[in-house]
Amino acid sequence: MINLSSKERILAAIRHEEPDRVPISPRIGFFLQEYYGCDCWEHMLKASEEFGFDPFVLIGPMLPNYLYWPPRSYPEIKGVSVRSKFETLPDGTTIVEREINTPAGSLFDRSKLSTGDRFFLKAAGDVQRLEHMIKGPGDLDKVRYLLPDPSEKRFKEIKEITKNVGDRGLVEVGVYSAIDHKAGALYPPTKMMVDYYLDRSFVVELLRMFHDYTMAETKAYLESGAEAIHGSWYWASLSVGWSPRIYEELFAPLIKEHVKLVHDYGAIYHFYDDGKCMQILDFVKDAKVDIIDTLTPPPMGDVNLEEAKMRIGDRVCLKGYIDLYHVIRRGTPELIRSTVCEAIKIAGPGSGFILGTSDSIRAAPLENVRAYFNAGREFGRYPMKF
Amino acid sequence: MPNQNLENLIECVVQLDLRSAKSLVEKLLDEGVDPYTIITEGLSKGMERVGIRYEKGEYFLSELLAATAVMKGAMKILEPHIKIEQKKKGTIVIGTVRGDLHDVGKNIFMGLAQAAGFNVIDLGVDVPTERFVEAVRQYRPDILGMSALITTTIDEMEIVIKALESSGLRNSVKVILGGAPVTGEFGKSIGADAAVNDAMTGLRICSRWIDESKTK
Repeated sequence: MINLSSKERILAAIRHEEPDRVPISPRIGFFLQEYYGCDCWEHMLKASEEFGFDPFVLIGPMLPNYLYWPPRSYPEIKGVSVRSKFETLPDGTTIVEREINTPAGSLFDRSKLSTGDRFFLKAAGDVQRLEHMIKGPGDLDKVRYLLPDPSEKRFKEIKEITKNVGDRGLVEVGVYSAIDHKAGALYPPTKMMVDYYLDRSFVVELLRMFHDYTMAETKAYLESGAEAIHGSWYWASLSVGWSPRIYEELFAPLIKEHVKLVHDYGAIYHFYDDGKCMQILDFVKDAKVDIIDTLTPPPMGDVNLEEAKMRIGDRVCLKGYIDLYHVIRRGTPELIRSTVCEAIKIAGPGSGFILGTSDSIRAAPLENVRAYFNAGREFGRYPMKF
Repeated sequence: MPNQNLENLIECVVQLDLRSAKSLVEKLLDEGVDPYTIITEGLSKGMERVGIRYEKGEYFLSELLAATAVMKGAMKILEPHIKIEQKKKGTIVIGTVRGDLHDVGKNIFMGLAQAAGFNVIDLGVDVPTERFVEAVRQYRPDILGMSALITTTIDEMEIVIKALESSGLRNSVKVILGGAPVTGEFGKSIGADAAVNDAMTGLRICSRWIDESKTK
């Protein structure tokens, strides 16, 4: 078989057609930061040439998410004004207090921002919410003012980057779901869990409001030429504590709507949940996602790759599986080689498998990273000879 | 003869029905049932059954949290009727390790432990090693709990355990690790007494430790 380009290889796997070999496409942004000092798409391509893999070039989300990460300045929103106070503590962290005034009333939140370096390489890079913005149902009408319809916006860089990347990888635009870094950042998911039983209509309305915004945002990316959407649902993960029953009622219908929108534009839907997935496989298949990622094995996740292949592998392309911590970070090159071999042996036959990782590669010995890529190329050749 | 309203209260906790639970607690008080009996024979038994459903995989953390909310809501009605504070089961100091801002698992464990009668001192998230050591020295807890969700921050747990050893405090406290990335093998390798992936198992181990210490 002639050698395919990275993009052809990935697309073949998604279509369940046999490529020349299993695509190798880990999440690798943090490693790029460590290795090159930059994780832009150009460095992603540079790395793919140096290490021999097939990049998913993730760009966006392109709309600033100022509700999650408090910035110094805000875009102009009709009728809304923001007063912020930043206070840097001796440990380098920053406390931010915000009062947001809307025509429906004011909102307040308090956050702690982590320092740059220490957190970044450790991947937290996160905001700790000391006081959430949404206190209860009475705040929903105020928050609506902060979510102006973005569906008419256009992002020319999507086409530009897609053109520049060409056949060297698959460009996808990242979209956080209604809960990821959105509703869940303004009202704690643990409270939503309780409210599902005590005040369900509030949780449904909260998620619907952010889902409508997410749909409009996604439409803007698709209208701008996005060929693939990376839909992040990891705050809805069963690993967060949601029960399958709640998942089925609250999240599965939203995933379905999101996927349908993406497919209406002929684009690919890449579903991301880095937690426990065995009990949501049927929902994911029913929603017709094209790729499920990251298929995290125990102890972090619960994925039995053989069972996943059997249950949804005929319709959904499986991506991920290799444990970042116990295998790539703390394992030996021999363990990495045998784990990659086993994964390909289970999920590779018949195509529909992309070798990935359970999380973004970081803080791992370079020889282990090389061992991962080498094993993928060594064992992933079609036709398979196991 | 068992009190039917107490039986119904147990069922309300299991069914995560706060409104009915509150109403039953009021009825039981009106009947003159002792508040401690309502707690031990009603609410706590309900929580035990919720725990069993969780262990069987019928309930998840979302249901554990909802059950805890039902218990807390009912307790608010009982509190004015409780004259002498119950003796706490034991003290747990808990925190998410340095470099990690995740607190969902920690908070779930904390809620369950408080509902089970533990005195819980929460150090928050991104807790430096020195703060853990200082808290063990200050509060003299029975148990120290450390939580981490990010695979790259669990190394901090070993640093804390070593700091407890060098401060001469390690033998005064049981150490339990919690979080998705920790394994029993990992816990053992760094000198922890236990390592768990879920709050319910953690609570069971902590309760067992306290029971064992009382029989010594």
